[in-house]
Amino acid sequence: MSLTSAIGSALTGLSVSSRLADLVSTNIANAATPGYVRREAQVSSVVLGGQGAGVTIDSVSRDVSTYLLNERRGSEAALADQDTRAAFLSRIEQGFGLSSDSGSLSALIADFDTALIAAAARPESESQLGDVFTAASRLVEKINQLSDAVQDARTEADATIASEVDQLNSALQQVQDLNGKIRATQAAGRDTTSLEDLRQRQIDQIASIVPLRQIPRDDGVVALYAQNGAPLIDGRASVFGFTPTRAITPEMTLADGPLSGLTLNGRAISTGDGSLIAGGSLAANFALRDSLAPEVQAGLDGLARDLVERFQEGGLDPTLPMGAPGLFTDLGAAFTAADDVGLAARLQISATVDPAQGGACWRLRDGLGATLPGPSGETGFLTGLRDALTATRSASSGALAAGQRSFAGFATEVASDLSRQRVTTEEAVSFAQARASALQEQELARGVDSDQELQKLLLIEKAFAANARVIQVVDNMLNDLLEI
Amino acid sequence: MTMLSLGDLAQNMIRRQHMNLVKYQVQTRSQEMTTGVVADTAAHLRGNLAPLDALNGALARFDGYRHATAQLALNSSTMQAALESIDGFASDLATPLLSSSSARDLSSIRANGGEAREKFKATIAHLNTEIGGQSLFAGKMTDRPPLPDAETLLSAIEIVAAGATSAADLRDAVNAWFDDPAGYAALYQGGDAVAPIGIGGGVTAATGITALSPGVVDSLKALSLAALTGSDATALNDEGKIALASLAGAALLGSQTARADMRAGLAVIENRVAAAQTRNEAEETALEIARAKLVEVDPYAAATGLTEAQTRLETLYAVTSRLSSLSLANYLR
Repeated sequence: MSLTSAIGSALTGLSVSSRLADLVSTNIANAATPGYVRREAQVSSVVLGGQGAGVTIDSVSRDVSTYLLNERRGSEAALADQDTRAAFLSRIEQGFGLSSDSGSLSALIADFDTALIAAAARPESESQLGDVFTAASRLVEKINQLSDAVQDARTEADATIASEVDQLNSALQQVQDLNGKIRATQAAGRDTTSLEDLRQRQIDQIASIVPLRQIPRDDGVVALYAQNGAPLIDGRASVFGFTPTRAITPEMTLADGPLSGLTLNGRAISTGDGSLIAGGSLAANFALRDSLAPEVQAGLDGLARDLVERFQEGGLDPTLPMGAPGLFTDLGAAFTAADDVGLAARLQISATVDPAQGGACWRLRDGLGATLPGPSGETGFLTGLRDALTATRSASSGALAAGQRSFAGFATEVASDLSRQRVTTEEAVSFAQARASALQEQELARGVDSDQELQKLLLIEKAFAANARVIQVVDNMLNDLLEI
Repeated sequence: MTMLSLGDLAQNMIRRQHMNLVKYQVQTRSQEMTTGVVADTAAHLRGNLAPLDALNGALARFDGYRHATAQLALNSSTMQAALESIDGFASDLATPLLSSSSARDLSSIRANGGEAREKFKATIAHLNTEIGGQSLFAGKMTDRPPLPDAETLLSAIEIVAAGATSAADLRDAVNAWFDDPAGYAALYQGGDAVAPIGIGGGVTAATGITALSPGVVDSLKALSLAALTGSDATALNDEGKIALASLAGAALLGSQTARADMRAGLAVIENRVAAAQTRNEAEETALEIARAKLVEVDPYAAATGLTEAQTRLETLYAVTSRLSSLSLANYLR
């Protein structure tokens, strides 16, 4: 123990204090930086030859909890999953509309019904027959629009999958690069915390696409696995493959082509429930494209089929030959049971009553096959049309509810089913949201607390002053010695 | 280090979330207060839209029924008025014809015959009535009058009657012409009676009367006989004309039953339409109440909810402003 070693110890104290002050200032500066993890210094005493020789900083670590990190990322994936489904359902539900809003499917069916009742009271009135035609064509348009909306959603889901796959691939590549850099930096004994921050941000970006599990490996390297087991990165980054389809029609499916599935390192993997990638927005978009939206489409096709068949039945219109298309047609032709898929998109109103296509509205009164206008007071066919619309019958499409219902009844069932799904999914969303924000809150609670940092700064200031004082005193002591 | 601390961002996030939540509540409650219906109908009904859709569908249908009942009420009351006038013509003519016949007053018979001719014309005009472009006694052929003008009819009748030398022969000839499908029915330009139309849930109605209805034809037979008493186109002598006046008067009185039946039938239809109107209106009100019960919000609950949310938002603002100034940095000098 000597005076010079006292000066040496005090000097280490000074340098550690300034390094700590540096850390505090870094923490405070990044107090509001998202994804920044608070730095902590591990301080220990220096021992030289069995003697204390001051203080040193062993390492600077990031105060991160892998458990919280994995949980938070998992909750974000679950949220993205439910959110994607809820957004689709609510979008299509809005397309159907509530029966109290004019322009909703139910309201348009009621309008058609009302127009038929009113027209039967004044069959000679061109404007009343025109009302019937307008109501019928608006109903057809609505069903076409709903079908288009469903297919648009599928196309968008397909495009989203493509962009998410790109994002996933590039992020995994980045993580692989950062893993390498961190290993090298650590081997060189330098600070890796900023690189780790960067890596965490990269991983966070893809956490909502596929639910991740981060597993620490040696040398600061991390491995990433999907919660259902797909290896994303362990040493080498995996590569996902997907081919987007530009425009999707109801007939296109994953099973019958030409829609693309997902490959992992060149091998096709399943994308449904319980698949390797299940649980995030990627799987949700696959579910939307391949099961959710096709189910809604099947409901719409079933409705379109019911509508066509109601008005195509023999005996309703004596002016038509057997098997001729009725008031509602499949692209102008009669509907046959084999053409079920996509009928909602192809539904049209018969050209014989469409003035724009050379037809005439009076055929709604006299029969679609009539060549000349009949008695202007004829109500039989109009009443028959209304009976066809409101009669209860069983649907021939398996996608519609069992049991006998009117057309409006079937439409209500389809809309109700959609609303029920939307309400349930939204409940799942709010649960996922609550869980995600609770976990995020816990993670942020571990973040920079400026009050605490300032308190530490007070200690550092005191330590610095004390060490400086030590140097001054020892200097005085040395001077005293020299003056002897 | 397991020291308790709370990151700055965590505090910020908690407050932001609370604020979002309360603001969302304020928005929902105020929307519910102003519209009186729940903000998310589907969620409120647990996704079961069937009752609401059924109510809305039924309510929309009343628009159609309103149209149908109004049209049918107008048609039947106009027809009733026309038939009443025709009935009036017949009874106005019957007594003078009979009395002038029994008084053997030829000039009076001639005058009454002239009068009858005018009444016949007026009757045809009533039968050719159209209202809003809809011909009422023409059945399905609503776009044209059911009968040609009165002169055409009268000349056709005069041709039929020209050969008859006795009043009874003339009457039989005229009656036969009216009953002959190639006679009166051939001049009728209308169609079959209009089929019943829906005027309410499960209720249908039609006036069912055309210019071919027995009550109308019987009245026309009697009126044309009366008109022929004043005509010079017949081969009847004075005695025959006196007898014809008596026959015409009797026929006018005799056809009254058929007319009364017809008018009574029409009154039943008018009654049914009026009843349907009343029932539809009552049902509409009942359904509107039912619909309101399905989707309405208790205004008291909405208002208290809004006030509560408002108070919480204000408190949150106060807390935020207090907490944000609460930092150690402000006290380190």
